[in-house]
Amino acid sequence: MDEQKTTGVDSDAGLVASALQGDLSAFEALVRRHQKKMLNVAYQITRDYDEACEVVQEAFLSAYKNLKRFRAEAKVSTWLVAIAINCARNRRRQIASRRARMPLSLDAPIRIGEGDLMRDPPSNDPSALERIEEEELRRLVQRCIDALDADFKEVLILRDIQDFSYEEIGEALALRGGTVKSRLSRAREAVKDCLQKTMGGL
Amino acid sequence: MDHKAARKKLSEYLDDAVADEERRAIETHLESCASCRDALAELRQTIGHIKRIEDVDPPPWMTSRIMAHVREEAQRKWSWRRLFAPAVLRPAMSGVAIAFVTAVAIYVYQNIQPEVSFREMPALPEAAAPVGQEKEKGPAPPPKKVLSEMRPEATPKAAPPQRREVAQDQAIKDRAMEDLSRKDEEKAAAPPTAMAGTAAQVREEMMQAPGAAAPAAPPAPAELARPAAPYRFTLQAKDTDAAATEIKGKIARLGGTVKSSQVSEGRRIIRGEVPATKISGLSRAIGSLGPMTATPAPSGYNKGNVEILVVISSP
Repeated sequence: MDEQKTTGVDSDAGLVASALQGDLSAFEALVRRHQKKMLNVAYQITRDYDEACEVVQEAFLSAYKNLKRFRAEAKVSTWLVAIAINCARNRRRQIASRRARMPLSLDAPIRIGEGDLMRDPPSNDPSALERIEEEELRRLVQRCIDALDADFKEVLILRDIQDFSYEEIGEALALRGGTVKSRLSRAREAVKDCLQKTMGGL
Repeated sequence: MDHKAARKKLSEYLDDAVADEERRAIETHLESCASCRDALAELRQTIGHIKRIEDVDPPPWMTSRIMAHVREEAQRKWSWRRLFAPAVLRPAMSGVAIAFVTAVAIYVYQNIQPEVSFREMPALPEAAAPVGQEKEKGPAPPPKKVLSEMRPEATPKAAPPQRREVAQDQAIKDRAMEDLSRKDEEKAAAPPTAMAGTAAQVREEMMQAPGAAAPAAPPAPAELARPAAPYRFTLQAKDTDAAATEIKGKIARLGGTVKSSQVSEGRRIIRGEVPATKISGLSRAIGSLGPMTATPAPSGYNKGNVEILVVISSP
């Protein structure tokens, strides 16, 4: 979040105001500034690059249509990401219902401890530990994140991958501060357990 | 802080999201709890791993495709607005709307009048309402229920200014009812069933009537309420000059003005205007000079001045 861009004509709020006056180049500046973050949040939720691209397009169009509803006290970046998350959730639901129509579900949630945190936990493979290359480590971490239940995953993505503050996460996901903290804590613990299981240690 | 609480707070502690007091409590516990220290280190490592996840880049066409969608939407939005309220025309349109509403309000105010107009109606001479004929028949029984309801409504209100006029009033009303019932029969498909319906219909007919009434036919009371300017009085007097002088004097006394007075083909023609409220008085004054017809008969409900035209001819 670029703090120097919070005031002036070039600030997000200034661009929104210009876009409301019909200045499409101002809206284009918002697109250029925020599309990557939105794409990556959407990508982490859908785990499909093409779907994520669709989500970002849909989210920006929705944002444009609802520009008037943007509240000045909110952060544009948070607002845009919240819209992207909503679009991504809807797509994930559509995908899920498509999968549900298939006779056999290969990735039904597995209950571990409190609630459905994990989905399809990776197999235990201790031999990998020392020889995992950077690429492989990332792949494993990604698998552990993917295995998280959606509510926990979203908080983790926003905090540890996209560097949102606790307040921004609460705003984007419409959650109270305490919920953000506890979900984040449990999500991190779950990823830690997952990595330890996968790699036999950290 | 006990062990369990401290373990739960480690995630926040790493994010520096705990209050100072909590921080001190956690740190005190960490000094004495090796497993919590391990857990903290593992958590820190885990977060480090998560942060290594690399971002994907948007495809190069992303911005242009989004903006294409947005432009399409903007066009739709603007064309929608243009269709209904172009910004440039909006003040003009409100002006037109206000003028229209005002005009309708004035029109309605001037044209829709209560039934009392029967009472206010001045006497019409025999030419307009053949009293004799009516008397032979007597007041014709109203052919429809609607009309019999109408009569008690109108009669008690009628304040008879002169005896002669009462009979004439009655005759006029009867004629009005005949006219109305005739119209009702024409509209037999949908006869009004309630008084309110009838009143509304009378009003409706008042508005529709002006063109429909043949000039030769005596004016029906329903049509009188809306006078077509100017009021035209046709008087027969033996001494046209004396009658003209008398009428001009009366116009002046009523607060009106005489615009022209001329002689044409043996007839005296006086043009002028009088306050609308005085038109009945003028009508009576002219009527007292001899046989007179008024077209349309004045109702006395209009505002401002009304134009008058008096034609005096010798019999």
